[in-house]
Amino acid sequence: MVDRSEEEDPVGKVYDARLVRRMSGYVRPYWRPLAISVVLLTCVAGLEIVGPLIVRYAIDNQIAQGRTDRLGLLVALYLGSLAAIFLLRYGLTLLMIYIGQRVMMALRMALFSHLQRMSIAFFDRNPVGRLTTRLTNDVATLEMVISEGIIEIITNLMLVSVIAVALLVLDWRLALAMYVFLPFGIFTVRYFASAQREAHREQRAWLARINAFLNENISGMATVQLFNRQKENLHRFDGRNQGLLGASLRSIAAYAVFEPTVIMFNALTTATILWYGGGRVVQGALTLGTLVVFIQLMQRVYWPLRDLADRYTTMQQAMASSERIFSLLDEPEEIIDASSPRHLVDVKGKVEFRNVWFAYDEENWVLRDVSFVINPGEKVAIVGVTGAGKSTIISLLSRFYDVQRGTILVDDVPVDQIPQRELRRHVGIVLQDAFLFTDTVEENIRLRDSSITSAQVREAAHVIGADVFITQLPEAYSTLLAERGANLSVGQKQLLALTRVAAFNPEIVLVMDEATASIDPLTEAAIQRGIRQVTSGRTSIIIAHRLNTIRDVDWIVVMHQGQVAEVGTHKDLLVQRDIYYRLYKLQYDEQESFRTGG
Amino acid sequence: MDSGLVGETGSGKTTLVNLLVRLFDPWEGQVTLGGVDVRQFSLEELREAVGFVSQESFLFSDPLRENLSYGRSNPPHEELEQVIETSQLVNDLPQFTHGLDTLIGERGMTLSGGQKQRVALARALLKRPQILVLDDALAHVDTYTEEQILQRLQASKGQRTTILIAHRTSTVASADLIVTLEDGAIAEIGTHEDLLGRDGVYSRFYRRQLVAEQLQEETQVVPPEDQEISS
Repeated sequence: MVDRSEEEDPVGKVYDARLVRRMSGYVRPYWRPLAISVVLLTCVAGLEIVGPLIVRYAIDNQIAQGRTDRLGLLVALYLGSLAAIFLLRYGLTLLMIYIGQRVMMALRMALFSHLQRMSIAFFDRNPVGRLTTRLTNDVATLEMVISEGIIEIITNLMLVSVIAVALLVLDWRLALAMYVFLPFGIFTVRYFASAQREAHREQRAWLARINAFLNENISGMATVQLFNRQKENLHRFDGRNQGLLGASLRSIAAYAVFEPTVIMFNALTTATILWYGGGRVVQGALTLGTLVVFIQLMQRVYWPLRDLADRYTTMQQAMASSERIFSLLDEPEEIIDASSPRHLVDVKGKVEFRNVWFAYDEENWVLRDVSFVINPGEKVAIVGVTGAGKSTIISLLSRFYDVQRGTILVDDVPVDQIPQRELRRHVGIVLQDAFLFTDTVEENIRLRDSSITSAQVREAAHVIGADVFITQLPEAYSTLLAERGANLSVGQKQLLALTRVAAFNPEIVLVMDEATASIDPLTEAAIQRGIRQVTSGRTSIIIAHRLNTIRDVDWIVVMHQGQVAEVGTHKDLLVQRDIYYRLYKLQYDEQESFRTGG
Repeated sequence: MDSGLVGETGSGKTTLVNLLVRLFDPWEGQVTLGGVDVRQFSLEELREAVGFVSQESFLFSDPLRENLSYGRSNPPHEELEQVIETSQLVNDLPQFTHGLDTLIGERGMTLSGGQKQRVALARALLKRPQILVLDDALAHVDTYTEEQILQRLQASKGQRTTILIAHRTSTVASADLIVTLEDGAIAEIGTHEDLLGRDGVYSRFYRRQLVAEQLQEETQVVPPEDQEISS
């Protein structure tokens, strides 16, 4: 499976009002900590000015006048302001990270719960890798911006404006003389930033190309080797590798020239302050302290500016990530509960398919005009060759998909009018290859549903006959199963699947019982017994392959090319000597010949 | 000579042909090609000689033309046309918006399973291999087209040896030699007629096929015209 996100263009807008509005919806619950941060931010920006002002006072009112009486106090105040900045910044960072992490958690929850509401058709279309990337990588990118990016951007903007105003107030002439360089500074910073951004974009594009190339060539390695393409492909890889090298070098070159330029502007401004300001100090129009403050504060204007340019790329990535996250959240739910649902009371277990037409892709009909009625408590087998539409019937009854035409009814209520939760509580499925979670045996049976007691779990296992193997596991019901139940045999997994349904005790049971090779006769018999147990007293639809199971049912639906071809009891259908007869002969032949070791 | 390999899923058919092209090497025994152990050839030489079409046809995100000439750069135009004909891709070409220059694969036009298999077949044929291995390579191709392809392969084969792995007995019926596998061991060797007479793996396969085919041929249903198809 190729994760397409690697190939997606990483470059997007820096600011997209629509996306920011949606994001702010997630930030809004944290307006209190957010308000506190803004206050803290303002304090930090203010305190950044206080330090230099103390220095100015020390120079003008103490040192320049040959006094030292208040110098100790001033030094203490200066240190105090630094300590306060330290504490405030510490608190600020904690707060922002708190908000960022909380928002991300909410987003992951929103994504996951949205995914759980998506129809099975959606998962047929979207590879697992892509969906996981949304929940992890994209959310992480956003988190970085919220807890680091935004705080830096706001702090820097505030700092720059506070300093700019402070300098004007201190001495507007000197401030203006200094600002002469500012436009050039900003222009240069922007120029190099955009050059760097361009190189960076190119770098990412090459990286994406390399990823896609590697992905394809590694998964297709057998083809590469069989067609002796190693040399040619190495050559192609070399082209991409060279491309990335070039882009990376350009990006670094842009960065390398950027730093010294900022330093140069810094020096130029310092020189101006010294030359013009120094002259004014000699003239007595400016105090020495003010001159020192100017030099100090000037340093603090350039670095935030540089930093702002740096944040540009981060913002772009964040916008692209949030775009992808929201487009996933905007995927419409295809299977939705009816607005005024009808509830099932005292379920009897009647199942009806009424003129059902269904296609997975709106083009190739899988079911064509299928109709049948199963009365409460009846056991019915569905048989037919592969592709006849048997498993589709089961998926539709659980409403994994909606039908294009016709109606499926449970107790005379159309399934699309029953809330999905309720429907699935009453219709239990035993899948061929039951999905087992990394959890204990017990929790795999009750799926962490606390309404099912441990005693009920054990009772169900006993009824099915799964307790025989469960009690022999190292920690019996508390044994931890490996991913997908890798430490169990196929037969044991099937027995667990049967137990699971028995524990949930639905009124209607659907069993997928496809032919499985490599099951020993003993396990085979155990599964058969389990199926008999789980279906007894319940309306049951069994996709049957075992002869004994088929002989066991009340009547049989023979599916053929999406249609109900024949309906009747085993005996009736055999007498008809048509499709069922032939299928039966075929299967019987094989199962007999397997039994006799043919 | 044409030979067919038949057996249940997991009986070892694919493994056997993988040993031929040395995607794996056997632990014991040897696979020979013209009497010479395949390990004696250089990998490049060996794989040059074998045109391999595997179950999962892996295509690359490149134009169709490049995918076809994957094993042989800049093939003469006539040969390209010829393999497109043999693999019956010729009927699909109008569907490709930019003809042979249409981008296919992960990031290109989505091909059906049958189309992918036929591109993979054409790609292998263009190499002009001495040995052609079709590992269930036409499973997604409909029976009629499969028949057409097999006929064309037969007609253009010359000195080529073909190894056919198939689930349908009809695919291998005309092979000079049919080998059936069961649980990793050879169960039967013989021609179609020989094996039918033996009531073993092959005849079991054959009977099952027959019933399935008979069932396939019956009743083609068309949805009623008077109703809207999509809801």
